[in-house]
Amino acid sequence: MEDNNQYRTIVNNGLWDNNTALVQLLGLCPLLAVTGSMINGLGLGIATTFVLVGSNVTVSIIRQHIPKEIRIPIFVMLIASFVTNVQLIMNAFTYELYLVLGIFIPLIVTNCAIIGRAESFASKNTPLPSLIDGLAQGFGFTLVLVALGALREFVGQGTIFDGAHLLFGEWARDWTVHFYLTEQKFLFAILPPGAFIGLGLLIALKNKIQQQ
Amino acid sequence: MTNQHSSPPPNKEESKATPQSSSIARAVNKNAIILGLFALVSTGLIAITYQLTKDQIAKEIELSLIRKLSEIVPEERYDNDVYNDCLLVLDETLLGSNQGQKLYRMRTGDLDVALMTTLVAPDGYSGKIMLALATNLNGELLGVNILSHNETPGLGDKIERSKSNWVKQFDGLSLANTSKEQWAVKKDGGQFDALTGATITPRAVVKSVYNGLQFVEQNKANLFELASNCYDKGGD
Repeated sequence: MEDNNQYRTIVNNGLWDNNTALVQLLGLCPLLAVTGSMINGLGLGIATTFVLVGSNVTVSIIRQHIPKEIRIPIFVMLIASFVTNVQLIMNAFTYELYLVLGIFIPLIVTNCAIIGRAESFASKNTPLPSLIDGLAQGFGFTLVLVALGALREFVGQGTIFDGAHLLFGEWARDWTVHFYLTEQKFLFAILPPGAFIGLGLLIALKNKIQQQ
Repeated sequence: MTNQHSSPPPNKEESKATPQSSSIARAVNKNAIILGLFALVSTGLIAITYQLTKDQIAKEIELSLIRKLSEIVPEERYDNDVYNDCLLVLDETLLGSNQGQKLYRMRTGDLDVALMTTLVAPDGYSGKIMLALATNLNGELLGVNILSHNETPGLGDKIERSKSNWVKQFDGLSLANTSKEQWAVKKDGGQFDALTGATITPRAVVKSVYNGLQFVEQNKANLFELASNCYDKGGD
């Protein structure tokens, strides 16, 4: 029972109470930059989750063997290694998406959310809770990326799921849902200001829901 | 690595300090070793992943190029291994980059069919635009394709084949059938449509295509003849 409660708290924290993007406001650089479309957001979200889970589990397994003084360089090294691996794997198996996300994959290294979880959670907990924490935080971050991506894509160019084939392969090419056709895109939503305002709206929405 | 540096004969105070400083040295040594081990392990992991993925990555790059190519030259038109029939060409003025550009040769049996060269339009609205153009033996454009760019979404990015037909204006044109003055956007007195809200991008692409055609024209004597040299087969 104790355990179940602990896990529920971890999941709640990751998805809602202590959401990476909406509450901690970490990892905003990639968040704001790639959410021009829903699929881009989803791709980066999956990559980030993968790195987060990998680094959380590894850190929690070796946490007793890491001297306190050099834990930060070790965390950074582990995370950098995971990110490079993810980058190579994406390059190999989702090449087109890799081209779209480009520079933001290596930038996962600098996503404070990941080293933040390693330091504040994984280095103090056993592997299983750390795994769940990584999943929950990563999933929470992905949800925000997808929501913001969908919002901006919908407002900006009237579609959702555009470019799904980048992530899911050729057969997903027809997934795109067109809500309205527009010759001229609503640039404001697609360019960076739209990201800031969109994120602001999402945070406001979350706070509103929480008040009730 | 041990802390045995020869110091002047110790007086009383220094001999008191020694145990502490040597324990610091031990800690430093231990940490350095641990850090080194982690560096080894994480680098090793990357090396393994690299080995496992590098063939797939090379294949994807090739596939993606062939896809771009097949949008302008149908695959039925040639039967050679285009990806490896490739020449590195360098012409900073005409190809827009101080890095070698790749020029692919398409052939059927012994017959030369077409050329595709990559080139760079250095003066896009947001930086360089990488493009490719394919020409037949008469120097006529079979087509132009944009490989990568950072132009504004919704405006300049209409140069992409998947976003609009703009780039199809080039099909069939050559230096012979289009005069120098016509190689410009309409606003500058030429024959090319601009894009709504974006003039700099089309201007850059038109100029670059014109330069690329000149490069092909100037070098047409030996572009098909030189041996492939894009991918160094030795080593590795």
